[in-house]
Amino acid sequence: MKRERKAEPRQRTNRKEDKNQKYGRLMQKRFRIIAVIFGVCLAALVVRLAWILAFDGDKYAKAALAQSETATTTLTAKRGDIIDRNNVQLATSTKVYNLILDPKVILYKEDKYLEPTVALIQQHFQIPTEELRAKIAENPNSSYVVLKKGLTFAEVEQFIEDKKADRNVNGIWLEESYRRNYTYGTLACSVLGFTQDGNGIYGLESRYNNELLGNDGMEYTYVNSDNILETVRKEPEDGDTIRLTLDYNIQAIVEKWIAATQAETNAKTVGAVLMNPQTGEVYAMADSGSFDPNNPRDLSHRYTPEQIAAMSDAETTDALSDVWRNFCITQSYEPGSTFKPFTVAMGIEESKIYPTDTFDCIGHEDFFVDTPWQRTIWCYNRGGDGTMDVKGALTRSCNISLAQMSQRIGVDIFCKYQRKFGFGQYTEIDLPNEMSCEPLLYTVDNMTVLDLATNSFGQNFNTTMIQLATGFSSIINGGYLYRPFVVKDIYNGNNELIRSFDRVLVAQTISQGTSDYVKDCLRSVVTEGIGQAAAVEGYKIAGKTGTAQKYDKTEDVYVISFIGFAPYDDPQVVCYVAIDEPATGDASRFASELFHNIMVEVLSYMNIAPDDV
Amino acid sequence: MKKSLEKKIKQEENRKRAAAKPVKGSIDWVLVMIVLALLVFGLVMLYSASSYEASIKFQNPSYYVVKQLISTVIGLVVMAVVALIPHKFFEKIAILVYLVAVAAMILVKTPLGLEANGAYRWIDLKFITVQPSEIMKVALVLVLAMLLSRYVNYLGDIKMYLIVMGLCVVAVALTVFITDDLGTGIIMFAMGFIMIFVASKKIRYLIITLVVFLAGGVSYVLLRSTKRVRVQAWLNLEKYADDIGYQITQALYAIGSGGLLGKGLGKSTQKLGFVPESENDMIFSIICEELGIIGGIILIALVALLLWRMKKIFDSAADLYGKVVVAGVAAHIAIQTFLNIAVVTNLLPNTGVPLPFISYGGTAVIFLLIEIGLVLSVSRVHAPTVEEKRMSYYEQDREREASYYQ
Repeated sequence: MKRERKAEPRQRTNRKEDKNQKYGRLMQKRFRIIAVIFGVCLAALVVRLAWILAFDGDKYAKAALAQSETATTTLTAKRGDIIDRNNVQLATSTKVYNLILDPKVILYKEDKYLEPTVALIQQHFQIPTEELRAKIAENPNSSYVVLKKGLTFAEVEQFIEDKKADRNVNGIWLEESYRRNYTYGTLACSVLGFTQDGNGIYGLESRYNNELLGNDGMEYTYVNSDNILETVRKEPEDGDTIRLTLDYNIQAIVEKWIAATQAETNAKTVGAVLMNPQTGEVYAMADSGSFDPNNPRDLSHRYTPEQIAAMSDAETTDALSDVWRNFCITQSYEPGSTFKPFTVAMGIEESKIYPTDTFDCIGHEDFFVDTPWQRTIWCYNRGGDGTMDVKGALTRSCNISLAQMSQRIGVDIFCKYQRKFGFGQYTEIDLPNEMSCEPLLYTVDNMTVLDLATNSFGQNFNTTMIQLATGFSSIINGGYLYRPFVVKDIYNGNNELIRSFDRVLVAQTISQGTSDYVKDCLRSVVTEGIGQAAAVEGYKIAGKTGTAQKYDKTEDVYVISFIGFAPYDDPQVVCYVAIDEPATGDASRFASELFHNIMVEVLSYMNIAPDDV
Repeated sequence: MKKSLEKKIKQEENRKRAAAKPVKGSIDWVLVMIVLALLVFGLVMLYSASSYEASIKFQNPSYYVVKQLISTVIGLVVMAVVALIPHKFFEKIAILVYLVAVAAMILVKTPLGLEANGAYRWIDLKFITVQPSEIMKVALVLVLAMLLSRYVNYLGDIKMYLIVMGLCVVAVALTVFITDDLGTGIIMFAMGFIMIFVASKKIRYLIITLVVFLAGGVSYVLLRSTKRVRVQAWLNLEKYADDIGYQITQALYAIGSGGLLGKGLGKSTQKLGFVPESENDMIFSIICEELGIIGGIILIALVALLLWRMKKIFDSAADLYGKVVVAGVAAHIAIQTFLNIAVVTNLLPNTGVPLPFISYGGTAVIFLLIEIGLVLSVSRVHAPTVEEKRMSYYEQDREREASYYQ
């Protein structure tokens, strides 16, 4: 009995141990299979990861980057104003609002948000609800759908209040932006230029784009080092305000008379530059090819709708660049007789000619150049001007006398002085696209006596209006060549003066004595010579006419011009007007008259005391 | 003579038996170290992945990680307790645990159930919310291990097989149809399948079951439109990138932008509202974005190391029950890890299972650690190694010698 009881459990243990051993081995075998499968599965994951990285990694990274960028909001900086010398606002940026739809937010609680939001948008901005619903349905994952652009504060004021009042209006917001506004439309358009997508692409807007631009702000959300979600708002820095040397009133006067002359002469272009000869400050710069910088691509003031419709893309581009062009600094032409004072000035300065020298004019003069045949140049007065002194030559604008003077001056001195006065060189006025005309000038090496003769009275080489006005200023101010400039001061966004521009002396061209003598000659041009139409009552006006024949054209076309200054003793303003290709036959008086009309108003506006005439 | 021979044989048998006795040792500390490494890695990555969403939803960037840390600490304590209890105890209470799990599953359909994303998966016990499917996984391991080890030689019998498989199928059915959690259902079935495969000598019924289940699973997926679109999105992700495939698309963006070495810890941009559930099912994508695929591979390697260690414990386990328990736990962790990462990398359709030890989820980590506790409990007793057997013989001889001299 006792033995049996003892034996029984022993036997059970035996069986159990056998089972343990037998099935233990089986399980071990089976589990090894499972372990291998697990290993293969995990290895497959590693391969898959490498696969993603190798074949689609870049694509996914770019997509991730693209969507995370939209999470930051740009806060547009206000572009700086442009004001004239008396702080009259010429260009400014006004805050406008863009209406942005956020379908993602609306669809987040569609049943609650959709109806009130759509209704409110429809009520305030007259966008049909069907259109809104379609836009929401089309872009369910977008947070940025622009509905309307350029809304003014008045247009959105009520909407903002109504939106605040209804908590279920969501997923619609206003983005602040700026629109460039040119207060006086076409006024000074060639100088100001215009902007496109917030960047200046022409004129001052382009030249001073960096200053005007300011720095855009940003608003973005990120997780900081303590893992707290933070919204960071970097306020935008408004752009600098630039104050011009231009005077709104002078500019307006000039543009008014340019338009009148343009209508009268039907010229290709009429241009005018007014500047201070003592500093180089430009008071006004205008040409008849104006445009509205608020709407720079509109050609309707120049062409009929049919003409515009008929234009090819290239033609439209040409027409636009022609309209946008600043004639006074980018158009080169032969200056004609307005160059004569320069020839006289260099001759006197270098003692090659003396005021008492006399010259004979029989109406034409022959030159033997290095070619076997002779070349004849003609005086404007084909009958001959007779015998005269230097002053007489200028007063009568006698080409032959000037040609004779130039032969005494010689090529070396002539070329040297031509460049000293700034011809063939950039004046470095702070406006873009200036032309230097350097290739259009003769050099010491290739100038023949004939070229010298024609150059002496302003033919056969090219210049720009700003070059001639700058050089002329140096003749009448005692020989100081100043850099012309249009920006006087720059103020930062807080209206603090950060930069100021003063006159920059580029060169000393002639002496005071020469300057005084040439001024005397120029005075007599207006008192007794061919420029009498330019005279302004009460002022001692002095100046020089110019009629240049354009040799590059087959028919007889001219550039007629007048450059003069006032007051005589202490020149305060130089005015240079040019009429390119007037259609009228006898047009030479138009330039003098244009000068006259402008100066009458400008001198009175500038409060310049009349001279005792 | 005969008697003395008999006595000698018996003596020798006793000697053998004594030497083959299971050896009580310490728990497997290597396994503990691997688990701790995974937990720490998981908490760090959870903090990184969840802080943005937490600061938006709860104004507290450490909301998720603190909750997870509390659950982890509770889990570690429970793990220690379970590891110290002899594993035979769990064999005894297996049926009870299974019944509790079934009851908890049914509770989900009562007012105690909590709804999230259109599915009832939690029960609210006022002071804590519990996910019954996590209890069910442990219960399944325990009850299957008990049956499979106790009736190991009857498994060829269809009746026995049906009982074992039936318990598994009930658990799967409850999970799929009550909590609408196909992913967890798949894990449970695969777990049960592997456990039976490991224990059962004859596997023909098992293969039949597998075929039936595959057919049933496929038709279930095809019949339910919510599941079907996931398969469509898996096959043509780009077409569904904005709706049903959005989650996976964003996860792939994260992996792609992480590159080989990642953007650096905490520097993920995809977690900033782009990857939904970045603290949960999709956390692996954030790991890859911040630590690169190298980070992802290190995580996979850690899991592989864990499984290797479990294989060691399995091999040295002293009894069949212990072996089957370890097999079940290993299967659970391996399948769930594979499913999660395969989904995130679009290798499989979206099934929505969390990543073990890493994803956010209190119940999940507690019950995972209970499973690890079970394995540790098994590891405390192991079959003697050759060396230990030799030592045992030696000691027995010494004892006998000593008794002679007495």
